[in-house]
Amino acid sequence: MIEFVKVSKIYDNGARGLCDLDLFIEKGEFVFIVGQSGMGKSSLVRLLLKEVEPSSGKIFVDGQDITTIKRRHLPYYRRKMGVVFQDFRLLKNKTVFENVAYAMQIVEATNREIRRAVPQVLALVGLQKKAKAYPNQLSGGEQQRTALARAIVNRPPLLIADEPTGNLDPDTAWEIMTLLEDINDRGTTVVVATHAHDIVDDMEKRVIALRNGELVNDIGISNIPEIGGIISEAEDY
Amino acid sequence: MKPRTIRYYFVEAIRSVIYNRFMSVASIFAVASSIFIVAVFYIIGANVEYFMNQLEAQMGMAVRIDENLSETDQARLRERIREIRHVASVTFISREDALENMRKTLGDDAVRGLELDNPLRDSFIVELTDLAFHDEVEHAILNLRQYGAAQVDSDAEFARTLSAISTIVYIVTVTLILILAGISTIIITNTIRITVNARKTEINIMKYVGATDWFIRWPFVLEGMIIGFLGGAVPAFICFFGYGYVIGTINEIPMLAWVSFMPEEHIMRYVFPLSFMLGVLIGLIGSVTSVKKHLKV
Repeated sequence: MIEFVKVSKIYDNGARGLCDLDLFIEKGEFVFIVGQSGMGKSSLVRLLLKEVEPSSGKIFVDGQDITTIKRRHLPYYRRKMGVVFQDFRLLKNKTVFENVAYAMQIVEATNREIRRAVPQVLALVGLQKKAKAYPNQLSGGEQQRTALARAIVNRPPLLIADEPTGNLDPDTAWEIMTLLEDINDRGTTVVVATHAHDIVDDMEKRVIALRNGELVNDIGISNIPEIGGIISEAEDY
Repeated sequence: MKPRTIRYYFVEAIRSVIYNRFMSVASIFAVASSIFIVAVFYIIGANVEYFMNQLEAQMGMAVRIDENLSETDQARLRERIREIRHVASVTFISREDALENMRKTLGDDAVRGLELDNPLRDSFIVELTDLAFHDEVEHAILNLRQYGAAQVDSDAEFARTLSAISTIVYIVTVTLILILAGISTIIITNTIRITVNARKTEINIMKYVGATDWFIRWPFVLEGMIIGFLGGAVPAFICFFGYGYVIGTINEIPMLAWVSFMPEEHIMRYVFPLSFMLGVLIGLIGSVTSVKKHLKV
C-alpha cells in the first residue's frame, strides 16, 4: 500500500525531516509511527499527504509514485485517503452532518447518496444524535469522531491519523483508537503517528520508530514484547 | 459541472455571506462608499461636459450668402457645406427671419426703419460636431466662395477657449474616475482579503479533504460577487433617487435657475448598470486574488 524508497527530506532552513528512509506498509495493515516531536513523524505524514516534496527518494501509494503527481491532480490523490489531525480541523460554520457530507460533496455524490452514507458513518462513530450540532457544541472526543467520520465516509483504502489522541483524555483516546481498529478491521490500511506509549503498548500492532529522521526500529505483531523497548529507545534519544 | 454542484456553490456563497455577516457588511460598505465616490465624480463630469456641449451648440457660425444666388445655387451651397467634415447641421435663415430675431433680441427701437431697407443677408447657421474643428470648418467654408459663401461670422477665439476647457474637463474627469476606481479596487480587494485570510484554515481543511481549487474557489468567487452586487446597489439607488432631488433643488435657486443639467434618464442609463457592474467586477477580482494565495497547500 505504502512504500518509501530511500526517502530524505531536508527543509529550507536545513532541518532534517527524514533520512534515507526505506519503509513498506502492506494493504490492510495497522501501523503506528512513533518517536518524539521533531524526529520525523510529521514529515512522514506530510510527505504522504504530499504537503511537502521529498528532497530525494520515491514514495509509492497504492502502486502510484506520488512524487510525480502534478499539482492539479493532487485533490484526486488526496481523495484516496482519509486524514485525521490532532486539532480535528472541522469546518466551524458547518454542522456535524455537513462536515461529513462535505467530503462527499467534493466528489459530486448525489444528495441521495449523501443522505444514505452520512447517517451510517455517524452511527459507526456514535454521533447519530449530534448530526445537527456545530463543532463548538461538541467535546474534543466528539469533534475527533466527526473528523474520523469525515475521513472514512468515502471509504478510502488508506487512513492517516496524525496524533489523533493528542488533545484527548485517556478514556476518549481509547474510544478513538478502538474506532480506528474497527475501521482497520473493515479492510482500511491505517497509519497512526503518535507518541502515546500506553496506547501503542496495549494495542499490539506494528510499530515503526523514528529518531532523527531515521528508522531505528520496525517491530511487527510477532515481536510484540519488544515494542515497549523500541519506544523507549526512540524517545530516550 | 453538475447542476447540483452549481446549486451547492450558490447556497454555500449565500450561507457564507450570512455566517460572516460582520465582514460581509464591512465589505459591502467599502464597495458602496468607493463606488459612490466614483459615481458622483462621473455625474459631475458628465454634467460639466453636457453644459459645455450646450454652450458649443449655441456657438454655430453664420455663413452669409451672396445676394445674387438663385434658390438652386443656395441649395447646392447648402449641400456643399453639409458635406464638410465635422459639420453637424446647416440651417437656412432668411434676411427677414434674421431681422425678426434681431428685433426679439435687441428690441423694436434697434430695428426701426430697417424693414424698408433690410441690410441683413440670407445666411446659413452651421453647427459643428466639435468646436475643436472650428478653424478647419471655417477654412473649408471660405473655400466655397465661388459657390456663393460670401462671408463667415463667428467668434473663433471664444470657440477655441470653450473647446480647450471642454477637453481639460474631459481629461480631468476621466483621470479622476480612473484613479478613484483604482483606489477603490485596492481598498475593496484588501477588505475581501482580510475576510478570506480569516478563513485560511477553512480553505486548508478543504484542500486536505481533497477539494479541487475550483470547488473551493467558486463559493468564494460568488460570495465576492454577491458582496460587490450589494455594494453596487447602494450607490446606484442613492444616485437614482438623489440626482433628481439635487438638480431640482439647485434649479430652485434663482441665481442658478438657468443652469441646465443632464436629463435624469440619461444619467441613470449609465450610472445604474455601471454601479452594479463595477461592484460585481471588484468583488470578483478581490475574491479570486485573495483565495489564490491560500490554495497552495
